[in-house]
Amino acid sequence: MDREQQRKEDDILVRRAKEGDYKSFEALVQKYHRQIVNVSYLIMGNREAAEDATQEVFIKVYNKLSLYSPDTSFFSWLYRMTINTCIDEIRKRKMQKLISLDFLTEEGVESLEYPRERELPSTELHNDEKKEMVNKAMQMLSKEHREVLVLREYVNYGYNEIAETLGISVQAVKSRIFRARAELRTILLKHFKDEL
Amino acid sequence: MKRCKYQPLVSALLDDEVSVQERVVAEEHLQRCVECQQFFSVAQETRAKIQELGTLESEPSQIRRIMDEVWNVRQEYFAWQRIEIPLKHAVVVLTLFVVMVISLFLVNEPQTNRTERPLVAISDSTFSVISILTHDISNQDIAYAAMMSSK
Repeated sequence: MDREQQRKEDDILVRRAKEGDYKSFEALVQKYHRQIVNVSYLIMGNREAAEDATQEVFIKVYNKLSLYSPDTSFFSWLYRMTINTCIDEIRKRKMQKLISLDFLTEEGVESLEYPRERELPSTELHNDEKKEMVNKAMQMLSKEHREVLVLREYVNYGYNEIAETLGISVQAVKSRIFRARAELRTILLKHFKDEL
Repeated sequence: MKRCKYQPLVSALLDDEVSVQERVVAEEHLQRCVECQQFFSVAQETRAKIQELGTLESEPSQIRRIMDEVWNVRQEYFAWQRIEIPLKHAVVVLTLFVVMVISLFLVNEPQTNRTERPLVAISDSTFSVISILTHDISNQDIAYAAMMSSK
């Protein structure tokens, strides 16, 4: 389904949800839940926190649905709200600090998806280690750089869509993405040089 | 750390957000700059890893939990036409409205239960005439006023 068609479908669901159709809102939740959990996870670096944030996002969306204007796409509005909620949550829990401390003690932000005891082929282990390394490095990025990288690399948004979502110019997006990549590279070289 | 000035362009090339002319310049530069080649390859690899990281699956129980929570929020709202306000606010507004109606009623009440007399010393007949003029009258007042005027 292309973006335009998706946008039209969303507008219909949002309009019905605004009129009080509970099922239409449920359809929106089902459609975007997976993406929102993953965006939250990439921003927060912790699965449990990401699930809590996702729940909060959808409740906020429900409460603020009357404020949504179809001038911007629903998913841009949703992502904006997700990013804001995650950043607020991080601030509340002082997670950034905890993550940094975890990193210093070599314990990491979260246990891996698979049991640590499981024997893995060396290539798979290497791959998962790298994944975890990137996850940790992402948490060390500044808020602006992290959100822009998530939108570009995970959500696969183009510069125009990122600009619309973040409310900045396309030129600013271009420059911010470059600086985010440069910062991520510096972090990886500084903290994970041996593992690279 | 000093970086190659072409790196922002190389970054845009990775995102396919360059003009035809910029693409030619970026690709030519990339062939001869080792630093930009490294930047490009690290950025490509981290992109792949970020995409791999975002593979959490959506569980039906989580969606159920969200919808239950939304349902609870919905119950706390008072809806009329397309206007929805929190139930607490609706109760406050309704209470204020009731208090206002009662107050208005009480303000009008002294007109029918007039017992107060003017502070200045005036006769009963004058008082009754004033009452007629100010419409603050009763049948008894009219009878009394009529009697006094006939005297």
